[in-house]
Amino acid sequence: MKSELPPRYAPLPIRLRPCLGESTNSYIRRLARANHLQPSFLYCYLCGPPQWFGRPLLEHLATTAGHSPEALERALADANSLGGISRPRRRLPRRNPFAWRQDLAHHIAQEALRGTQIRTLVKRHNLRCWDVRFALEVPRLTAAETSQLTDPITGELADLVEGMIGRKLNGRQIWTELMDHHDYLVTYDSLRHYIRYTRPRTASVRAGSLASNPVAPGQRAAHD
Amino acid sequence: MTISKPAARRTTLQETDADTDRQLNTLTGWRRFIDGPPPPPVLAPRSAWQQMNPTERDLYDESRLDHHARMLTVATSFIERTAICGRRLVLLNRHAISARRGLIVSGPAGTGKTIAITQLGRSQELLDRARHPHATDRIPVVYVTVPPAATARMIATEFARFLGLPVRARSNMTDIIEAVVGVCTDTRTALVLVDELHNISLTSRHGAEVADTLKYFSERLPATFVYAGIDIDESGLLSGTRGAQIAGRFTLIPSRPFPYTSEWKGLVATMEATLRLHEHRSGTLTDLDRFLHNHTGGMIGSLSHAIRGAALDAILTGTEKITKKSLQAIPLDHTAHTTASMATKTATSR
Repeated sequence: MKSELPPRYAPLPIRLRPCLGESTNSYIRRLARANHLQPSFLYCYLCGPPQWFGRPLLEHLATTAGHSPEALERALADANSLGGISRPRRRLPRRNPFAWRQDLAHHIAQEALRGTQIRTLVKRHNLRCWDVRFALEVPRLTAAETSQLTDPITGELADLVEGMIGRKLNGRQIWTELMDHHDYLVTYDSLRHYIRYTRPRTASVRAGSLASNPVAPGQRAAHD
Repeated sequence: MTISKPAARRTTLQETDADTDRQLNTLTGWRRFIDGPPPPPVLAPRSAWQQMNPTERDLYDESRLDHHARMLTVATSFIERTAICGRRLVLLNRHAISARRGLIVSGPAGTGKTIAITQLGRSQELLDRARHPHATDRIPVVYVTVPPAATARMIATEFARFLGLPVRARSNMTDIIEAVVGVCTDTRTALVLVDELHNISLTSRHGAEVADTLKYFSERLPATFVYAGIDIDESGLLSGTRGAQIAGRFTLIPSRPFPYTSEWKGLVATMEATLRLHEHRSGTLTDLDRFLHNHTGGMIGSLSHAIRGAALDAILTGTEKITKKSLQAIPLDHTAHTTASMATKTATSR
């Protein structure tokens, strides 16, 4: 429905905090399930017209989630890739003080999560205060549930998508089903890319390999 | 310090939202109502008032205009009866798993039905807050109004709109109902207030579907339903198979114009006590209580309108007092006029 007006965004009744380093896709999915909505519906609603399957706008997500855009920008790992009005880039030092000590930054973040104060961390690791703040501000993957931003469409996921294609579902329907009923994190763009480019290429490679190594009918029957 | 453009834009948008979210049928507006109005302005001493410069005077007058523009709630016997009956039903329904009992507030327009049910909702919400002071994820009261020419989908959308759940034009009604029921159950909704019920007509198919949807909500939600509307008992909503089911489970509290009794006099005195006018002599309105009853037909809404309107005029014209003449200068609603003229005719014929 192209004539649909842009929705007026209001805070959802049940609010959730984003996990540090969580992907937007995962956060939207958690938010939708807490509010008894279909994740695909909330995702499209946050994108708004005309690109219902594009990227959700940070401002819309912030209003709906009941958090400030700054808080979401800080917490969500891929917040910078979200749509919306142009925002000034976050001011970070030119040189990363933890470029060669990623484990130390991770260690500091873990200690801070356990409640250690910044002042204590500064003394313990003999660092400057802003180094510790830098280590805490950089989004990182912290938990198993936020271990990846998107799933590559290979292996089991590819088989699942192939099954849906076999059921004559189109790209949107496949994305909606993956979003609502499976725990895979797939963007609509990557799915469309897979259906349009990767899949025909894989099929042609498979066909080529079959042509060069034909399987004897008897062998196939024995395998089945 | 300068504000960056995006931040400034966001502030403007938030202000616009704050203005639009004053309606009671959104969760933000309802919570604002629960928090109550700001405290009334203090009446400055006469000498200080006369020495104010124009800017100070404007600000002072503006705060007084704002105070008189607000609808004042007086705890009348009708409001108390509704609150007590509603509270009793909420307790009775606490362990009910089906056939929950409800309340219907019915009567002519301007007799304070909406005020009564919103005050019931407010007391329930404040009680819930007192019992769970640190819980922020509770929505104990839901307030919706039945839109004109309502369909079942429109009713479901009103519930979703109150909660802030997104609804798109293509949204499926089952999904909307499931989301509403899920959220209300999770947030422990105990009271659902449905206002303007007279917009439902059981004689039409859509009206019957709306009644069925409300019935379905009342079965799915572990909450007490309170309906309010104009003359529901005479409108046919309680007749027929559907109506009989409602009539069998709902207690009816009729609202009617106030008779000229001590309660009316007390009501006028309470309203007079809230006035912030420099030249107004206390007791003027109490002396005019008989006139006010005849003038407004005993309608509390019309009485509030007349007194607040006269107070606003008194500040704007600089007279700073309410007189019988200034009260007569405020045009009232048609119902009050009709009731007042009928009362005058009856008195003359006697």
